[in-house]
Amino acid sequence: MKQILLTYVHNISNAVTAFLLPERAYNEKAEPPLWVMVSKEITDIVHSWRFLILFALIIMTAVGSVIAFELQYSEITRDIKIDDKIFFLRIFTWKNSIFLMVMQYLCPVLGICLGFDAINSEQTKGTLSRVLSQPVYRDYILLSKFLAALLVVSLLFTVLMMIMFAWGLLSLGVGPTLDEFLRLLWYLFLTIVYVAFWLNIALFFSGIFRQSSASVLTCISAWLIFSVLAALPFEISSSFSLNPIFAYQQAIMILMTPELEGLLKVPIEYAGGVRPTLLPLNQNIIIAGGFITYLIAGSVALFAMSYYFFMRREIRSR
Amino acid sequence: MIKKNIWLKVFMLSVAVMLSGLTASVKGSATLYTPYTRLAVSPGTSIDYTIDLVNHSGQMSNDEISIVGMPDNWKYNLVSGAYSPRRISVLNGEKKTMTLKVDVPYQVEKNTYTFYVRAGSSSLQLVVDVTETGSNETEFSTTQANMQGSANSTFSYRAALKNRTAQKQLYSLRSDAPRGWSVTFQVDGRSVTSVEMEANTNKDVQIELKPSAQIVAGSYKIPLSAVTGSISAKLELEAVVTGSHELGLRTENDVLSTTANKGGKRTLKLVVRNTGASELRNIEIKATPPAHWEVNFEPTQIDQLAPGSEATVTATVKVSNRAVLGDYQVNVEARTPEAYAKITVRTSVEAPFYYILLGIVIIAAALYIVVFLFRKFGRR
Repeated sequence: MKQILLTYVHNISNAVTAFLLPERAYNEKAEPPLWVMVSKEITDIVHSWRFLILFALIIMTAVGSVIAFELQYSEITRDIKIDDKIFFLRIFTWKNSIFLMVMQYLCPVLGICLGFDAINSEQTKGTLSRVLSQPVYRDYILLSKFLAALLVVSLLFTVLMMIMFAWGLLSLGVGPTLDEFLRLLWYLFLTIVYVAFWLNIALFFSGIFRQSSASVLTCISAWLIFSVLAALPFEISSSFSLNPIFAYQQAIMILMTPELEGLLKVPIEYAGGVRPTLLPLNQNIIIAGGFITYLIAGSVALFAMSYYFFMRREIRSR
Repeated sequence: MIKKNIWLKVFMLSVAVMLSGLTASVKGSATLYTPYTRLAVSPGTSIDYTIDLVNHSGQMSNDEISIVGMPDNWKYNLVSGAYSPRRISVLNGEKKTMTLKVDVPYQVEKNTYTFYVRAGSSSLQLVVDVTETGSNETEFSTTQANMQGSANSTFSYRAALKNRTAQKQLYSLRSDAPRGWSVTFQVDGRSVTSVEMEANTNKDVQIELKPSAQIVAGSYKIPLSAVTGSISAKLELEAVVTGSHELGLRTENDVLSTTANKGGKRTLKLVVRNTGASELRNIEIKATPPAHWEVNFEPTQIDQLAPGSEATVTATVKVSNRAVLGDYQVNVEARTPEAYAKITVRTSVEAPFYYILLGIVIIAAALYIVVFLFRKFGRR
């Protein structure tokens, strides 16, 4: 067990090194097999139409937010005081901003889209047994699919945040404070974890169902049910707190709008008599800690489940 | 004899007639009575005498009424009941009341005038003292001909124009003000240059004097006149102008816009000028910038500034660190208790160079990542 873990860590670190420093990776005599598989998967993703469409959608979201902010600039600067401690965050969170909302809807779609046919399509095409005839571990297949999707998504979201960041500097002349910067990093991290959560759901179903149509329908219905539950009034939706959509929404709201008034989950007796004020980041993380932990742990658990089912699966037959 | 007789008869008859007239006047004449037998009036006054004709003679009276000694140009009218009687008969022990209306003309010397009302043998002496010499002129007068004010105030006088003539007149209102003064006449709230007045009427004329802002302090006499073809009434007003207090403020190059970096500083040269007529002391320079901005002045106060002279003030505008890019207004004012001047300097806040550099670098990095992703993995 320890040996397996060590190999994993070694392979993953090799893969990351190869990704960040490709020249060095090429120069090495033997590329690590996991990295070869991951890069093949990334190639697949980059070439697939559905990824390109989602990528375009995300770029349009960012551009739309930027344009909306530019158009309503005067109104925004009237609503939002410049001595607001979280002025830069307001670019993302002010009342007409579509960025957070669109991201919140796109993340599950992105995760499902990248994972719903990961295993079963390989099996239908008969490529799964071919890959396994190579001297690679069986779990590399699942891991490479997960890592490839996650890497691409992380890169894209990072790029997106960088563009928003740079635009804030160029157009408003406003950069984030350290606190805001850390909050944005947390937002990026949570969003990637959230995509990973849905990616794991999709991987799980793609391992269970033989038909990719069945897995995509299951994924979409799961997303629909969770969305409906999360859209209910807070009193009801909060009782389904294992709902990943609800958990993500709450965590993001707590991190990005750190006024007390924004925190629906703070009980009345704590909030009573307290004026809306800014909480420090570590306090926000403590408040959102349950949700963050749940998203990470749920993601890991789902991956473990799909791993478990995949390892016990019969893969020779079509 | 016959001749003698005739003469005698004539004589007798005439004596008899005279006697009879005499006795009649003694016996049958009523007495005239009025309470105000001597009055002091001013020219143009109309006097109403109530005169009683009282008969205590024991017989009925029947007397000729006449008025004697009335000055030539005085008009009078005697009325009793609805008539102007020539002869009035009064029963014994009764009285008749007459009204005598006497118009004292405007054109009359200051003097004592006496006239008589006669009824038969009774005579009533009435004396009128005209207290001043009347005129055939117009009066243009004010109770307060002197006013004081600063150069930018309006001097408002109230004068009375009185038409003492017996005719309707059209007065043209003129002023012979020194240069730098504008004069407005107002009658009944309207600005006028002439006014028409009935005989013996008064009008209030409001006179507004406005000096030019550059007028030198001092005392000014403003002659005014109300003129018709033949009449000229004069009025002289006096306006004392104290020195005006005025300030001018501008930037040295007259440009009211500037640019500054976010978090940066910008120096402005301001010129304060005393545009008034008196010296100004302790001129304070202040600014009302946007929130979290700082504006410092060197010097912050000008101790003394003679009329027409200028002083230069250096203003340092420090833009807030958190200012969003855009245009801002910085209001700068110079003030003393007497005068005030203000300018608005439009300040465009620009991003500092390193912001732009950082933004471009970040965008380039983001693009590089995307390009890298597609170039590395886009190939089969």
